Amino acid sequence: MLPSGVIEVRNICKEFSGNRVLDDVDLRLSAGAVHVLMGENGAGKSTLIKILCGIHQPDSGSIVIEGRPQIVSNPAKAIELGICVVHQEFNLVPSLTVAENIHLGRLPARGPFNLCIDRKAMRRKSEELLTLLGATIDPLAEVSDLCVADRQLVEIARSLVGSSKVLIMDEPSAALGASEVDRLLATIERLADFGVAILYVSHRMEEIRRIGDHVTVLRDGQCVLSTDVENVSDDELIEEMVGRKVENQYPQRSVERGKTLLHVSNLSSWRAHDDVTLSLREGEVLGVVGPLGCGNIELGESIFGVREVSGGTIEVDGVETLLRSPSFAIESGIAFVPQDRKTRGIMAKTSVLANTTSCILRELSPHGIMQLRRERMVVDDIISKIGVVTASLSLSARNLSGGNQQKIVLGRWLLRDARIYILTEPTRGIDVGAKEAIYRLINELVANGAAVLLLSSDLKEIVGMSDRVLVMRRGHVVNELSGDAVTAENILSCALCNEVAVGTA
Amino acid sequence: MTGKLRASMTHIQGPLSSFAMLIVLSAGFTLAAPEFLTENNISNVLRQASPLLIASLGQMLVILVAGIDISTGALVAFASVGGAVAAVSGGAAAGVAATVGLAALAGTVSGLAVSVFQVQAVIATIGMLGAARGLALLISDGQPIGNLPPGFLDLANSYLLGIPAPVILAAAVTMLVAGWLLLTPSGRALFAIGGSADAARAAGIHVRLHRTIAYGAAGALAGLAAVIYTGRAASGQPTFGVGLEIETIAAVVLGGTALGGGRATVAGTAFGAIIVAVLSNGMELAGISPYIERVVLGFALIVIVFIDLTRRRILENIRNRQIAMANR
Amino acid sequence: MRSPLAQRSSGSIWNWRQLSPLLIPAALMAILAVIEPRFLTSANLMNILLQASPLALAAMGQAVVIISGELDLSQGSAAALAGVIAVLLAIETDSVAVGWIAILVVSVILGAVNGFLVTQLRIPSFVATVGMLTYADGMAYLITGGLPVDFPPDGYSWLGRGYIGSIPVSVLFVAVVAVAMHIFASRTRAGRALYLIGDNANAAVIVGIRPSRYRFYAFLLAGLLTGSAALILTGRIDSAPPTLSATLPFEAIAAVAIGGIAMTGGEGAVWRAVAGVAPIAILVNGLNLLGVNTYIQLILIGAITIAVVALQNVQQPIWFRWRVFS
Repeated sequence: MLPSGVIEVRNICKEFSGNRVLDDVDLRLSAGAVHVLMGENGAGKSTLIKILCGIHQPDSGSIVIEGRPQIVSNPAKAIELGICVVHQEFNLVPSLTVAENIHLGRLPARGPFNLCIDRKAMRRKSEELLTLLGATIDPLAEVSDLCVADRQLVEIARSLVGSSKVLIMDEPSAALGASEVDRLLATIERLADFGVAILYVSHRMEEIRRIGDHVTVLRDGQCVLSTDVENVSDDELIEEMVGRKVENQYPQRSVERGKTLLHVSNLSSWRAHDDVTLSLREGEVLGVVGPLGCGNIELGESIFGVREVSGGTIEVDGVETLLRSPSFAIESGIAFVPQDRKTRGIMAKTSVLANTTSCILRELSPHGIMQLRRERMVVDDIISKIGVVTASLSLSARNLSGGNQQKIVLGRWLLRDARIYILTEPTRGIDVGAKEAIYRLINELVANGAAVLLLSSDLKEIVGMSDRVLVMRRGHVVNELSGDAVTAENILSCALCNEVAVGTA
Repeated sequence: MTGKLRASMTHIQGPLSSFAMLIVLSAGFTLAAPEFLTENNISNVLRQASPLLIASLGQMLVILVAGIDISTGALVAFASVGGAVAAVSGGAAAGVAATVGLAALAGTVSGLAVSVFQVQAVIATIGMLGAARGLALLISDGQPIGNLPPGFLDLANSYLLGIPAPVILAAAVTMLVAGWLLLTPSGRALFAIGGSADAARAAGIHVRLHRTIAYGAAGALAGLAAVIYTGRAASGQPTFGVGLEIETIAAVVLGGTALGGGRATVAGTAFGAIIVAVLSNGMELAGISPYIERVVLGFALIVIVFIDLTRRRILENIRNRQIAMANR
Repeated sequence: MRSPLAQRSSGSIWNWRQLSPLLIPAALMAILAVIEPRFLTSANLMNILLQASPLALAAMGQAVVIISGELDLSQGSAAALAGVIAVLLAIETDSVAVGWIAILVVSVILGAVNGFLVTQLRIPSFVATVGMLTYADGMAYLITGGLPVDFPPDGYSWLGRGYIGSIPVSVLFVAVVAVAMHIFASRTRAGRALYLIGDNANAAVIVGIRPSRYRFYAFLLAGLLTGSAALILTGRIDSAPPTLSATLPFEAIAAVAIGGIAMTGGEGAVWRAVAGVAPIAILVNGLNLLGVNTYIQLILIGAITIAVVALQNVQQPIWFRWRVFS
């Protein structure tokens, strides 16, 4: 039986433009207990967290803290109520010291008019908090000198400065190395001992087993499982996360595989991935997937020349090439869809037309002069083909929906007749209709003999679209699945557990 | 304990290397022109350096919040002229107050443009440059304004215990600014804003207010420098401050403050300003024409900034490699 | 004729930035016409065009650099230095052609140095060009000893003061250059690349465009245009003072801003830079006619720059990026 809850979430529902993101969710956090929250991409975890820390308001349902119903109207109120969140992106100022970061915005002052900073008090409190967390960080060290794990501890300390009853941690182990994760888990155990209620979002089984007391699994906005950690097996958890629905949202295809277009050997890049070897053949879609921080995205960047490579070779069509920059990669016939279209994909102020032709600039301008009429024809042709809906081709790209923008970011490469496509999170943040269009486009590409490297964290997408799947963990490839073995359960098993699961079929 | 040691080393590095530079330069100039190291000349150099030092501290504040001020010289001219007018009609005290006040006002306007209207700092201060220089010319009709009350001139020309008043003023201002930045919450807020405006905002720091304050303070400091310039020339001149922006930027970068914001060193900036003054003085003594000085200054600024940027990039790379290795 | 790059913000054209280059001069002219009858004479209007010519050239050069995401603060001193060297050479060789060629060559070289500093050494453009400003200024003074270089050979000033029929050569020259610049911006690969780079340099890299190469070209082009501005300016006064138009970059930036080109780069047709010159030229002319102090012009231009850019940002605050340090 659980002790009386510190914070309870009852019957929370939340809708975003007709999409039911959270449906009657219950959660109970108890002092001194670690409650693990699991769920796939899009299951509703981040929305739930945002509701808890006051960024969103639930459409219905209530939040009860220590027996009293509360309304968490904004982040400041959440802090007041003792709800602290540690996000994936830290809000630290690198050029300031640890102590100052811990007290950011709340520097203790003394003296007349509170003019002078009370450095002694600041240092004392910082040492207190850091000791509590079991960290051996010098409060007077500069944050920029700290590694990611230490910075995370500073961020945790920062969130504890006020009185905190609840600490919510969103995938904290994603950016950490193995030994650092150990330290983090020890820290969380100490916090729990101290009486803080902890909500821990993660996918990693060994972490969940080690520190979790209670676990809740969300799927499609619903709470499908909520029980003590010791009462459930890894397999059951995975089953619940994935669900037994048959996934048929992905267009079918059957394509002949051709020769090897891309062969990567022992490719390594600092802090990202290590010793990765893979092959990509004509007509196939190779999915590369893993938990957050596994290095699949960085792998794509390394191959395309966006990321500096520290070792290994790349062969395109049998020829070993040095892909030092995107221009080289493009010349070798590689296309790239970056992870974040806002910062690296779409040129917002520029017209749809110019965005589309941006990758064939040279081809459209022999002798340096642009052939405007040809450009217009080419774009007219391709725009309808990739299904971009726009009132006019000279409209600024920022006026387009995310889905249409993404169609451009991917579809423009068709103009180059690229042979190898590296797609990073190609359907993130776009509507269902656009997703379908992108999937159909991918199918068309491989049907025409192209090869696709699909780097995504969307399990369903990977399973639905890939012929083969490479599972990565912390920068290494841990397994390869193909044919019938490509299922969500198998992927999750490989990705989350330490044992090597089912091989190829 | 290595954390604290390393942090202190980073903080000392700037002032230390600029101090070293200063020694080397002085030695060099003494060899070229022995008159350099006379008591008279040293006093001269320090006196020359004082207003530059004060103005450079202002530039440092703006750079600290990830900005830049191209209008420093124009503010000096504007303040000098406006203050002179006030001094002539209202007395020395009014004159000083007006000089500092006008420059502070101008700085605040730039600050508002940058923080509230999100105009880029370069553009905002370029606009202010024109406006201030224009106002200076307008008020003075292009002519120096003389006949200042003697009290006004004292600040620049008198001596206190054998030390020129401007030097004492510069020292005092340096202490004040250092105290503000190191000891008070609002001073630290500037570091936070320059380091990561988003983090600062998320932590509840009033980013817009503090940024504006930084620009306003920079203006006030420029005004203070103007008081000294005016006193020295015994008149307010609309042509003051040409090239001052460059000298202040050079001083700040030489001292070890990063152009990107988030870090600043008062001691370093002070040494940097002295270095620029020494350069100028040294070249004068060596008989080098003032025009060559300008050429050297322009060239030097680029070299200084380049070296500084490259150094930081290399350090960054090394640090990244170290962290990557540590995680294997 | 709309270039393929014509971008419309969502919906209406009732947008400050689109209309300002038309509204402001129209309003100014209306006011001045009422206050001062001498304003609307053809002689005076021609005068305005004459005054505006060198600034129009400089503004187009500045526009190219701003569109690519940088700034060129060295225009004035570069013009002065180029003028000084050119006239000296012209006198030495007693050849007008040498003078004209020299002024352009020197400016382009100075532009190349700017480009090198910014793209290869990765020095922020405002520092690099300010350094260049000081350097060029010093060099100009050094070479001339502070005195203007007078009496270039006959014919040198044709570009500045000559007439073809009843139209001044300088105005024709500007017209030709404006057309050329329009073609550059809308029909050449380099022009298109500059817009893409200024909009989102990272995205440009992904599609294989190299920002450093095209930004270098932008500085070269700016240098060339600054040189042609210097040509007209020195031609007009038949001498090359080391203080030739110290406020040039500052007025050019104002013109670019008033014309509606975003300071953050990536958008804005080049004709807008020329359009932005109109209010400045009209203002200067009007104030002169009214006998108002020339210093006020300086103040007004400065104030207007800030105000115009601030209003630009009020319209679209989300698109502001701290460009200078990125």
